[in-house]
Amino acid sequence: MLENMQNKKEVQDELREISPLLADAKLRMRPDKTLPNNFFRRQQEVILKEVGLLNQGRVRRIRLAWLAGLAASITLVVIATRTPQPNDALDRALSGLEEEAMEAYIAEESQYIHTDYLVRDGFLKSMEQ
Amino acid sequence: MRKLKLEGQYSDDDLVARLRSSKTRHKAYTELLDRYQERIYWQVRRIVGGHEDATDVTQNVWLKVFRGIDGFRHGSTLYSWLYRIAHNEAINHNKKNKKHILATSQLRTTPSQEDGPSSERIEKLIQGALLALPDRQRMVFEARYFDETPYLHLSKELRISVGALKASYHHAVKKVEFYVRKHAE
Repeated sequence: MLENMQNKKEVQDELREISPLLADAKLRMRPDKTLPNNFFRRQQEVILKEVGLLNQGRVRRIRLAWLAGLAASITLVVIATRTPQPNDALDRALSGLEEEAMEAYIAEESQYIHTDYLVRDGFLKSMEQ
Repeated sequence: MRKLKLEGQYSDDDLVARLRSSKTRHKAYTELLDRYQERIYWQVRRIVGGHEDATDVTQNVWLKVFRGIDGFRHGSTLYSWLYRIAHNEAINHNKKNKKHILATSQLRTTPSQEDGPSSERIEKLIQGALLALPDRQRMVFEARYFDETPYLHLSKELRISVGALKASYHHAVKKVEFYVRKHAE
């Protein structure tokens, strides 16, 4: 602040020595016209956007987000397909059973009620035995 | 008086090198704008007059600067290069819009006040005088008279000795004074 004041005084003193007319004119000069708030910041954004730099950053971020999303999707698909699903085999074995046989199974009248056996050979086959 | 940005992280030469590298370009552009945007705006505004025109012209200036940075040769300094582009763009803008705000005939017909010419009229006369100055004198005059740039800083920016700068300023002030006296009568 003090430095600015000193500099201002130096400029004015020097000018007065060379040309009192211009020194007076400078003192009477209108102050800088006011500018809209954050004008330079906003103009900077507009300029950077126009030269494509702002977009470059944005596009890079979008690309990264897109790649991250793709990687996450692939990971999910891999996990879903590789994870063993034990109930599937049992469901397949039980589906399509005749109602009567199913009832016997539920009432534990069947001789072969071990789940693993049912799964391996199928319920009807075990009943035939 | 607006604040002059005197210091930056990089010298102008380093900044130019960073502007030319795709890795550092983005930050370098921002740094360049931080350093010179305000000065260029006011330089242009003094010539074109209104805020809207000054905004359009300065945007064009920066686009030209960014597109032309690869062609910038170190024969001149970065600031004198920017200054020249801004000056030319502002003058071209006025020509395109057929603005002759500083025409001598217009200035002569402006009624003078009893206590001398108004500050607005003097400002216009100074601008008229500046158009007739050689590039270096005009640049030094604007930096010193309007922006109050210290000689030492200007010396680094333009790579001209302080003594030579003082001489340029002295000549410029004398010429401007002569022009103002002549047209204020």
